[in-house]
Amino acid sequence: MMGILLSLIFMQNFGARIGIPLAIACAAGLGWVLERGIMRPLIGQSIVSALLMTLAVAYLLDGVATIFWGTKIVPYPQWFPVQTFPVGAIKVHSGYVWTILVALGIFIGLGLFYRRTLMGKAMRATADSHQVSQSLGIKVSRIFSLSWIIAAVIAFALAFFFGVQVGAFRYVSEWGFRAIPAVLIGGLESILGAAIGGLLVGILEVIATAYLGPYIGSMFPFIVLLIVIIVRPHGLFGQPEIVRV
Amino acid sequence: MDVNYRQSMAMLRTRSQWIGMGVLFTFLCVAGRVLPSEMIDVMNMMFVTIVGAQGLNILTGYCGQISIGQAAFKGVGAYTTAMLIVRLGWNHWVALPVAALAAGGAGVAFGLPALRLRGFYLAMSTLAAQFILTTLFLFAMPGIVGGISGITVPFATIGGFSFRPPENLYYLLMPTCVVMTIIARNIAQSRLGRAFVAVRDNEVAAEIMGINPFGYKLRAFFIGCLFAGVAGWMRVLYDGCVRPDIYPLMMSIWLLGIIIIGGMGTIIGPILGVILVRSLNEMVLMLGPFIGGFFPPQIAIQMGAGLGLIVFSVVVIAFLVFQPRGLAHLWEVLGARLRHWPFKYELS
Repeated sequence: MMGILLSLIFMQNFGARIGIPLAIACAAGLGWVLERGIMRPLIGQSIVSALLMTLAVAYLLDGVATIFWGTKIVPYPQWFPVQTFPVGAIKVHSGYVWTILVALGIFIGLGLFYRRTLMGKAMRATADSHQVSQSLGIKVSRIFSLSWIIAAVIAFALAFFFGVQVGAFRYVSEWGFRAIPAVLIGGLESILGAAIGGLLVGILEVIATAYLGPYIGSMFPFIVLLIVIIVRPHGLFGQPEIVRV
Repeated sequence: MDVNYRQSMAMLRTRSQWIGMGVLFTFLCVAGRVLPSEMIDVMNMMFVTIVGAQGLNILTGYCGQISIGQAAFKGVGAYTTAMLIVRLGWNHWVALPVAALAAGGAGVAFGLPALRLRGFYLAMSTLAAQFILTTLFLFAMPGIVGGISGITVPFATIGGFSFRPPENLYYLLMPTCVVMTIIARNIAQSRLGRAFVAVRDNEVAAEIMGINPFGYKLRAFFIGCLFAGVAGWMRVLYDGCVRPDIYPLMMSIWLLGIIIIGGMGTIIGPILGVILVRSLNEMVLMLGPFIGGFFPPQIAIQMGAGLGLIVFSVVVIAFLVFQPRGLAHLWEVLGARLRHWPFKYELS
């Protein structure tokens, strides 16, 4: 949400060529500031605190955005050539093609980052156990900052495409909740899982809307989520967690 | 100092507590007739929210199971009440236990994943409950459930005494809230409450001590949602209608924020939290136009909605960072300071 609106300012003021890198730099900064100022004091506290903190931040940004932009949809600059071209019988909007390509690029890049680089491996180790990785010489606090920066930058990158297709408006933060079924169905620590979960949720929602009616469609991802986490709590591709005493 | 079990289980332990409670009780009894009508209206809303927050506090604060669906369970209670009264012609008082049980049952149904899930995942299943239930309120069987315009419910009456004006409604909601708070306090003090705390603090250890974590989690879900059902019933009496948009996700998060601000796992916490958050909300509503005056008009219009969000989230963030144990802890610290004054610590 913030991604769309901030990138909107930059794009309007500087044009796409300079605006996009500037917005991404700003995303990294915002991610870092949030981690440093708000999430850091919560280390060692319960999961309720962390969860509520992120929700509170979302609503804080939401409130700021409401004050400055109101609740209407703001048109977003078409920053790349948009046309439709036929593939077989279907007309394809070039915005969607670009979105899919960029998403694919991000997936591959992230996958390589987590599997091949030292930093990526350190991140996965930290996710597994803070204490063990700390004692192995990994700077856990730095890993946290980095993961927040990555998350913010990806969210901003998504915003560029989202804006072109839908327009900028403040209820976008509700869309964050739509990512949750996708990630959990796929499995939390699996990139492939997130990709497949996202596709699954999108396709199921469209199919359910078409065949079962719009109201089942909008809650269908959550029904699937309930079933999946009851049957396989770690998601389709996640690793089961082993609990020791 | 507590000398024996009976004394430490007693509700009011010291003479000053007796006096304080007496003053509070007299104030509560008199307030409905003395205070201005707008203020009583705000207090009525507080009573409704306190009952919902006490339920969430038992579930999240005592048993450690995060729920982001409390508003939807409140909605279940409210919709059950409305449907029983309007569609079946029951009266308000019979609808109360049924609404509470319906909400409790819904809570158990959505708490079932607790068998295999914990922490974050369980929270997500309650989030799913929130989305699924509110979608059902909105779309399922519009002829019976009411669809987007909801159901209009007649206000409660006893004989010729109508509970419609806030001054009268006060004498229905206040006792309900007091009774539910006492029930919550007794649950927290009993074996049930101690088992909840054991499950929260260490599930494996609790299991070894002979507490079945799954069973107690389900009980926590049932009780927490029972409270939500009662709160839903109160809300119907307050609003005189049910609509899907009265029970949004935002309200569930509000309730979670309220128990964090108040202090989780204490009985006084939700009460203090509700009082603080509601008062802040009223202040924003009053000051909004005034602050808006300093800004250009097109921004000033949006000021109210945005400012409410900002104030609430800033307060939650501040409490999480600076006082994670909430107002209840602050209250205790202040009390200790006062007791030991002018010294900082107790002199033994």
